[in-house]
Amino acid sequence: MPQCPRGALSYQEGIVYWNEDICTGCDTCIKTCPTFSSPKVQQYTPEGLWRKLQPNTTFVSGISVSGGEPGLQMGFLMEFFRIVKSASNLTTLIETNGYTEPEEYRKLFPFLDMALVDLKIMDASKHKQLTGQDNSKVLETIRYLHGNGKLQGVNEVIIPGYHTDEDITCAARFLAELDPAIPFRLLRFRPHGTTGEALGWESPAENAMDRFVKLAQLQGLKNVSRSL
Amino acid sequence: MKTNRKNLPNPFLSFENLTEGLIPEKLPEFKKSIRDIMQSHELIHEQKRDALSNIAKDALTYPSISAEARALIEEGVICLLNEGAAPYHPRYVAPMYERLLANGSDFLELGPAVDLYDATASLTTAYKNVPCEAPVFIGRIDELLEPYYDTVSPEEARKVLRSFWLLVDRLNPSAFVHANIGPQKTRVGELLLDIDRELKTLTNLTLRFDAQITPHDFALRAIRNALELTKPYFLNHSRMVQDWGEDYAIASCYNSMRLGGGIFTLVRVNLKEMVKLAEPSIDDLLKRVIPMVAEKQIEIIQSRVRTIVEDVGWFEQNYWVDEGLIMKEKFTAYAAVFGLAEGVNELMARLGRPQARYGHDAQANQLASDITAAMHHAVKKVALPYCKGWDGACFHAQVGINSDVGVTPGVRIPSGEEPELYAHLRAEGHTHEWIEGGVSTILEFDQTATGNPEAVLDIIKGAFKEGVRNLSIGSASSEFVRVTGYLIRRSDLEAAKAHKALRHSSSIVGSGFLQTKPNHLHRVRRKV
Repeated sequence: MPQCPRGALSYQEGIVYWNEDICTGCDTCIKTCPTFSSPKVQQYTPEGLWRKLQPNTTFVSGISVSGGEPGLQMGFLMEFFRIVKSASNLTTLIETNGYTEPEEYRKLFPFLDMALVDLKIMDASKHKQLTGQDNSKVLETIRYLHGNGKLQGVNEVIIPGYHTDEDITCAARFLAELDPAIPFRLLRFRPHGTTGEALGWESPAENAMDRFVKLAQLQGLKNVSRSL
Repeated sequence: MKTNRKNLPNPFLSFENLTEGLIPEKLPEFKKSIRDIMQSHELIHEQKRDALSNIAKDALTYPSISAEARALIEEGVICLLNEGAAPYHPRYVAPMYERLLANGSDFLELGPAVDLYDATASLTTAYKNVPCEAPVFIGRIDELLEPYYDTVSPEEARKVLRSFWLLVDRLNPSAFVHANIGPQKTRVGELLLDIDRELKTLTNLTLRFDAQITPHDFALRAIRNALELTKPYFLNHSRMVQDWGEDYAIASCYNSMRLGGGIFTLVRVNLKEMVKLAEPSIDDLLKRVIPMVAEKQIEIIQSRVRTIVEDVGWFEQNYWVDEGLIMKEKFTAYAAVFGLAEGVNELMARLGRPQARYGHDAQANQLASDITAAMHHAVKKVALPYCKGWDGACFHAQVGINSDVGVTPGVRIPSGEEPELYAHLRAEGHTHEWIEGGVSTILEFDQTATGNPEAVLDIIKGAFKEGVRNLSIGSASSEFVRVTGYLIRRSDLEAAKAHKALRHSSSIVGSGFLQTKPNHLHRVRRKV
């Protein structure tokens, strides 16, 4: 396909083939696609993925699965984590948006050590505006995972213009009422690698990040941190 | 020319002559070299004095060696590493300072140490008198001083250690001066990490790390230091104990030796040049060239060892020996290599696979490991006199000097060309296996590591499982750069470019090295 500067993509009978060996990872393909889809998607079986990761497991103490959204791959993950747990001493963790049903999370519990939940924003209407969805499900998931001893912490990406003092205070209060020890991490939005509307958003200022951390601590949370 | 840095370790000065020493026709050049040193504005007094003493040695005849061995030196296959024509002392010495503290020293007129003040004063005195070029090993500091910790109040202990650590650097301004701590956590060890972070001296430091012995919090503290200061090194202690037993020392860059012993000489083979002697055949290299070169390397080592022991009589009337701080039977010598990457890549190219590079290709990595193993076996085969501290010559990965243009230190993958982290550690780890005399891999992390020292610790543990013996951990934002095995400040590099005098003699060497290897400042940075 001529769009690829390295000639790493070919097109046969309606299928795009990607040559990993000559790809330089410039992502021109993704930027060229009108729906930002990637031709570099690889399919693995749970066993195949473990075979690929296993040689590197001497250098880590656990495996975390993020997104996309691991909640959409529960069947795969159950089998994959089952293999991880039977073949190693590694810990397992997912980073989820919290939209999966509690009984689905429960199926993972025998092989899952912990889950990190991304909370987009506490204000219900802004949440709907940002994601098209209500956030009550996310809050329910946080409660459910915590109740089962599986909540590693909650992450919230801070976007200027969306996140206000009120949002952070409410989120922190919600978590503190559950358990003041829940780790709450505020992540600074970065436009790198984003597309569409988010490209126009700015990174929050240093002092705003620091103020949010203090506000969250004021609600009684003992373990609040922020990214650089 | 007044700005000529005559104490740089060039393998040969213009007046040097392997067979005859300084000949009358070269006398004017010899005098000029002396004058250049005396009139240099870039050397401070002590550095001039050292350079003058080196140049005197270089005027002598080299110890007698065969014509074949001499030819290998002249072709640049074997290099003597600026020890001077005729050595008059061992290259590295690792005294048993614990005996000095326990018994005192008649010659130095020191009594047994009774408190932390005595102990640090005795050590400081000893360092100034170590019978080699610099106190390249200043002891397993935590073991030495922990017994004296309770002789003063905790506040005093901190003050005494702080001034001790300051004096180590100010009186011995060289980044080859090396202290060891660990594997246990001690109060002195913890304090020293704190003080080192505060004083930011260039003194080299190694943490002897063993996941079974070293407490987690102590290891993390050391990692935090390393991400800021590019030290301490993380040394695979259990691997060291397998090879050396408990009584070993790490000196200079990362050099292993017996405690109470030392290393007579370091003679190194340039693998890039050695490969040129082989047919385009792995078999020819491993079975013909390597044994031939190793035999000559050992011959040269022998001649130098004999000079120190027999001609100089270094062990006779030497108070370090008489007072039991150094033992003749614990000495050995290094047979070293460098330029593995270029050697491998060159042979792969001659075998018709120029794309197959060390670090990136399975066959090249295998060849790297095979060359290292073959050199290891070959240097051990030939017996060495007076080297009872090791079974034959001890194999070492030498890091290189300024004049090595286009040659990568030791068995490293060239800076800027490293593969992804795990592949990097595996490839170099397989060569570390053979190098008991000292070797290290450098890792530089980006700022994500500061927030996650636990992940760095996981990587260190994994690396040790893959055979890595020693890791230099640092961050790209640190004001220190690990040149090859020692540290230099980025600001000293700038000062050297502006022809200013530098306090640390090692920084003069290091700035020269970095100017010939700009990639060294642009290593691949790792996220965790």
